[in-house]
Amino acid sequence: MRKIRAFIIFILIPLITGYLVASAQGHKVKLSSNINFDTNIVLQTDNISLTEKGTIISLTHTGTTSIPTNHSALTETIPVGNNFIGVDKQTNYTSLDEFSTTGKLIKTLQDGNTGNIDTMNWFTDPSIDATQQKIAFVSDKDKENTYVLDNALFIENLATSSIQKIAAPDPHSGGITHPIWDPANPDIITYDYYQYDKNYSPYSIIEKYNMQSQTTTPLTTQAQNAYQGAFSPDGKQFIFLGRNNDITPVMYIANVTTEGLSNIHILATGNFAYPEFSNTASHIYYLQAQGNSGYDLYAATITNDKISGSSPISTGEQLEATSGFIVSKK
Amino acid sequence: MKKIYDIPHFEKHSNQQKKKEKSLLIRFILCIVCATIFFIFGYGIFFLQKLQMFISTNTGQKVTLTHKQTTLLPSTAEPTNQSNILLLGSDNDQKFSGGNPLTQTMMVVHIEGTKVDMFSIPRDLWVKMPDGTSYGKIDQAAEKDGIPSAITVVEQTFGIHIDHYAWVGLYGFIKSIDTVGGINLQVVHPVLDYSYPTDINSSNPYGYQRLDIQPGMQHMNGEQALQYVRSRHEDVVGDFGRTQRQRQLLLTLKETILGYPTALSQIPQLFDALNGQIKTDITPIIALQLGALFLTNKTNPQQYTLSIPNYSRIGWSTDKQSIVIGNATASAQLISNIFGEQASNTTYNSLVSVQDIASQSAQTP
Repeated sequence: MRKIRAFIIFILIPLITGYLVASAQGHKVKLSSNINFDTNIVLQTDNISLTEKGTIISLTHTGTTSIPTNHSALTETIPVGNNFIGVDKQTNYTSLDEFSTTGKLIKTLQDGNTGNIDTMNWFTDPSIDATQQKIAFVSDKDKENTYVLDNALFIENLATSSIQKIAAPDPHSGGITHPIWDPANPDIITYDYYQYDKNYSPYSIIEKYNMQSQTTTPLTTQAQNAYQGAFSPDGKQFIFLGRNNDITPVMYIANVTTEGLSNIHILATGNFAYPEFSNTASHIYYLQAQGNSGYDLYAATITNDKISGSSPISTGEQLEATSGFIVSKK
Repeated sequence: MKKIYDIPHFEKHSNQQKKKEKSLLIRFILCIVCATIFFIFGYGIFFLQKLQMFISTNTGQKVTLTHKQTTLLPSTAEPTNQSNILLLGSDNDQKFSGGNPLTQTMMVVHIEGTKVDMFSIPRDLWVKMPDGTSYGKIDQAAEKDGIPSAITVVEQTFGIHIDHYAWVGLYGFIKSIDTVGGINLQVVHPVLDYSYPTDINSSNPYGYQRLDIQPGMQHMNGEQALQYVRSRHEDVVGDFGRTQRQRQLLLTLKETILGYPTALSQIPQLFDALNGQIKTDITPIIALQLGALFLTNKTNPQQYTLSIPNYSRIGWSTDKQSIVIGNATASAQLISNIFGEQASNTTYNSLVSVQDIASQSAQTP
């Protein structure tokens, strides 16, 4: 009797349990469907805006504010005055929409829906200048005139609604993304420029455009394969990502000079996206891939040219990296 | 009268007690070990059961080469320390009523010991078809007679022997990525496509949509990952750009599995997901060996293709199709470098066909 009992307890039950556990691996129930934010980590000077599943989220040291909209595919939201401008992404087009603090659609700045799939437009990457008078965005809206299907860089004067094309890529080279304004000089805007080399391998550089002199200057080299740059609040430092291979990004930091960038060096290597300075410039925020299911928002300090003390602001369900986020003054 | 502090007796009793306790402890440990072993055994049974079901459905599918083999093919069926596996990816939608879709992805994985090379074949490469008389894009070979023709045309064109093949359809690809929880990909270049086919879960096989995939790190589900590796329109490097993205995804998938071993626990579910979505003649033993080699190889595979401008150029066929014309001399050297002795004896003959195309059947724009 004892032998039968031992057989059941130590052989049969473990065997069945092992089988059932293996079977259950593929039927895991997602326990958490919420993103949790530890806003204690957010500096008192900062207001972080991001968008997840149609909800505009503002993070400050004192807490989280969620503004649901009924635009579930809203991404890339930036604060403009008391309102927000974001990209409403549909399958075949995007629009730049302005939302109130209650999440109500106020107006559509740029409508990508022409009613004809062959003439629809993309409007992405909105970026507002320090005076909040001009908004930069990326679009393929000129394709009917230029026969170039790639995304070009435009600036709209919000007061007059006049639009100026700032930069266009080589035909079919890929396009331009991620325009950002120099906070110390309203005439300077930088953007990521994508191109192929002579062996048809893709690369990207960050370029600077001066609206006064109408000149373009490369800030990074082809070898750095740079993208997603950000200025420090005083415009004296520049942080950006590069690709040392096709898989893992490298985070760089540099000093900004009138000629370009100096003292460029590596801060860290990892699955980073959208690094941004805090308003004190002593900290940075960035997205970092965790596991294989998305991204968490992190804060870290810059000490001795390295990032240290990195702490996750978001936990639980992970963020989509496509949205990015904006750090503004609280 | 015995004293309770009779030391010898007390010691004897104590030793017996200790022995008994020790014996119990050993038994307990043995039982725990036994339980653990049988837990793992039960876990393994589930894996094996799924593997067995998967194998019986999808692997061991030998193909019969329908076309007469030319002298290009080596006579040895199984090279001792080298093998070539032809990876095929294609549409499996309703556009192809004959059941033989174009092979939109053709990649030869060359394994020599622990060294792995990946040779991507441009789908628009203009070659002599397996019938030996007509010309066409290399991806059209499979459309005529299925996988046997795809194998034959690769063997004839490059003078190499294909030992095994594996075909994965669109749904199989999507399910694979979804099963491992999606993939975090570094999009190295914007992907803009104005006529990306909407043939997934659609009643209209000729429908299309616009695509705008932004660069940078992205978390993609299966369908998004498919869009990333399948799109090729509005890209100056066309199919070559797509080939680069496909190889990038393969390497990222490897990093994902190695970096997050929990993905391995999804293998039984992966077998379920791929059921009916994969065709291969690879046996289970070889599949396990290949999997181990892929995951444990610290050096990423060398990647090759007939890239522009060194190994090929864009041209037009006489019936106005945009095609890729191979550079015979440069390609011969590349093929020889990758496949070594296996191809060196036959490279000249195989690339004559490419030369023929350049001079007879195609003209530059």
